Amino acid sequence: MEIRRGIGVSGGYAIGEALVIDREEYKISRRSIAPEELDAEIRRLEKAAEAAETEIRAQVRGMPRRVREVAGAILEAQVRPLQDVQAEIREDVRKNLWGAEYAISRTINKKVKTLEDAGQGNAATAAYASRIIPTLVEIEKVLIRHLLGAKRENVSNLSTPVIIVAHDLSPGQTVTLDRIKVLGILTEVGGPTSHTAIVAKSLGIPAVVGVEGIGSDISGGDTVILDGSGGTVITNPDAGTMKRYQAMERNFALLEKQRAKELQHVPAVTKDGTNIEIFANIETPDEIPTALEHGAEGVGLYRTEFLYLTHGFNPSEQDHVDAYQRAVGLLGKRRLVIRTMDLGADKVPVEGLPVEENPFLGTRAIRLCFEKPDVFRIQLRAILRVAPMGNIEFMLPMITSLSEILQVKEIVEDVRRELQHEGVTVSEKVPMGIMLEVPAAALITDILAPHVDFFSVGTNDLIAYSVAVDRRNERVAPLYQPGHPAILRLLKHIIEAAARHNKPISVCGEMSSDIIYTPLLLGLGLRRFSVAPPVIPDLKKMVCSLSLDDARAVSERALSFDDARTTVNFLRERARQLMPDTL
Amino acid sequence: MAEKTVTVVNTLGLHVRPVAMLAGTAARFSSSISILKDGQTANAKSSVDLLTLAAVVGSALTIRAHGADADAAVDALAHLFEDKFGEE
Repeated sequence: MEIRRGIGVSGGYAIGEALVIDREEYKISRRSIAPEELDAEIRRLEKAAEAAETEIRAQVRGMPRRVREVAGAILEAQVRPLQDVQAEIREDVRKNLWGAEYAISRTINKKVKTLEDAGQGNAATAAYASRIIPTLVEIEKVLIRHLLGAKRENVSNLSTPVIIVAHDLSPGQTVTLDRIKVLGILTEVGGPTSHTAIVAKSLGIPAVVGVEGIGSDISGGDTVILDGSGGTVITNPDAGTMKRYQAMERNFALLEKQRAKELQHVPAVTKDGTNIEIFANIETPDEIPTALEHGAEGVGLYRTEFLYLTHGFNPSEQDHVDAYQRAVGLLGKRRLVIRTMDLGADKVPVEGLPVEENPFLGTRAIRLCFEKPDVFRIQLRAILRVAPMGNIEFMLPMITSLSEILQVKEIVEDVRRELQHEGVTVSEKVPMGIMLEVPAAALITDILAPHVDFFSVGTNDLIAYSVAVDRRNERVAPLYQPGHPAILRLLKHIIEAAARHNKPISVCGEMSSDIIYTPLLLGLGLRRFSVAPPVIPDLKKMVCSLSLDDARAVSERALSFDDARTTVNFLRERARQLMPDTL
Repeated sequence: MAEKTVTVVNTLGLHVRPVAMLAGTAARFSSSISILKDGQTANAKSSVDLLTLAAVVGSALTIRAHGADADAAVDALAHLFEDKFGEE
């Protein structure tokens, strides 16, 4: 048992198996074997090593002769460590009766750790370590890949819950992680305002950041206890500790439930009596019960990408219908906003689509829908079919111009006629909105307004496209600033234009899930929020703590600043004054 | 027992290829052979073990062998160092 301390950034307890994601492509379980299984396990390991060796040799053979002389020698050199490390792994399996995967992970880990320690305070050794570690990690990956064979579980598609351990999580990784299966998050770097912290908090996943050295201290499959409030991290706990934390975990969950329940039926009304609507962002209908328990009025953003990711990028009409019907069944008469497919060419291996050099400025979302109208029509058919059963609306991502909206309207009309022709009952009108997440669209909100029924602002992309920053790129990530004066001006422009045309508008990006921005958004005129369910109780409390005059004073002041840092500091301070207990 | 001190002269230190050569050569001898660096010992017949020595350029290493062919083993390994592992 080992105890470490970091910064607790998202409350709650998590107990589970570790998944070290910078190194591992597949989930490694800590499995014990019975003494009589020992020989079979060793044979399994040997077979995997043989297969790995064959793979490396085949790679060498496949190279052009000239390359083979140089690169081949390097690959050949990898065969040796692969053979040598086996002896140690075998010893680990024999002595501890561990499954081979876990023994590999532990053995390689020990070596990586030794090299990292040697590199401490010595630049030459650190440089050596940084060249050698990838080779060791590669050996681990290759062996595990062959051990698991067809059984392997991909990180983005887990069948059992895990605690994610990483050096740092990029925003990109948090998107691809299977959120439902993530019990807790543990990172080496980061602070209370880091991206990981904000995302974990908004998702209600316990998280501890700033725990030095955990990447190599913890092996995949280790049992980890994580206290997201206190910042404690325990690896391979003894039975007593385990029991104690299991009890604390139960208590915490109970308390959370109580707190949400207390606020569940408290309406979100400002001090001067203005009603504020709060909706939930969800990825699957499974999240709806929790969202409602937390006090959501409905679903303001149903991201349908999950459907595509779990159905080999090609869900059938019935897959869509089943999911939407389930959502309607859980929501009843409450509002459900389905966002049509928002995938990029970088994620969808659609046949006939070229790999793009810059997917974020490429065939994403609605653009992909236009390129693959058959796929788009399947989703539209499902939406129109389920619409009469509930309070359904839909919205389009990545709209940049009016012509795109008109084009979708034509397709929708065509699909409607097609359904009617088939004798299917279809609603006369299903409200259609658009996401405002590209600056070009934001600046022509007034032009687009007459043609849509509502707007939803996707602040994540709107900010990224405005300040030209890919948040997954660590070198420029600090330039991603929600408090940038340009973003505040854009939001003011959008919200005012929508109000002039009497079109409802909500903000569904991360900015609305971070309550330091709530007074600003209310002051700018926002009356509808769509947020991650765990945030709703705090958001309600924030709304109830101020009047619209207070909020306007905040937004006016915020708009007067020259730079993001002053703005964010001011907003954080104001939020702290309004909700001293929470912040 | 036989022993010899060598210095790593390869710019990249004892990286993957040199350790593979070392381990491959060491494996041809029956003696038990170890390589020592600043009090750390690695089994010369295991390339992965050698990697954890983090022997960068300029490191002084001791090759030590016990067994019937100890002298020949130490000479063979020392020769690899002198030959810069065929690099550069």
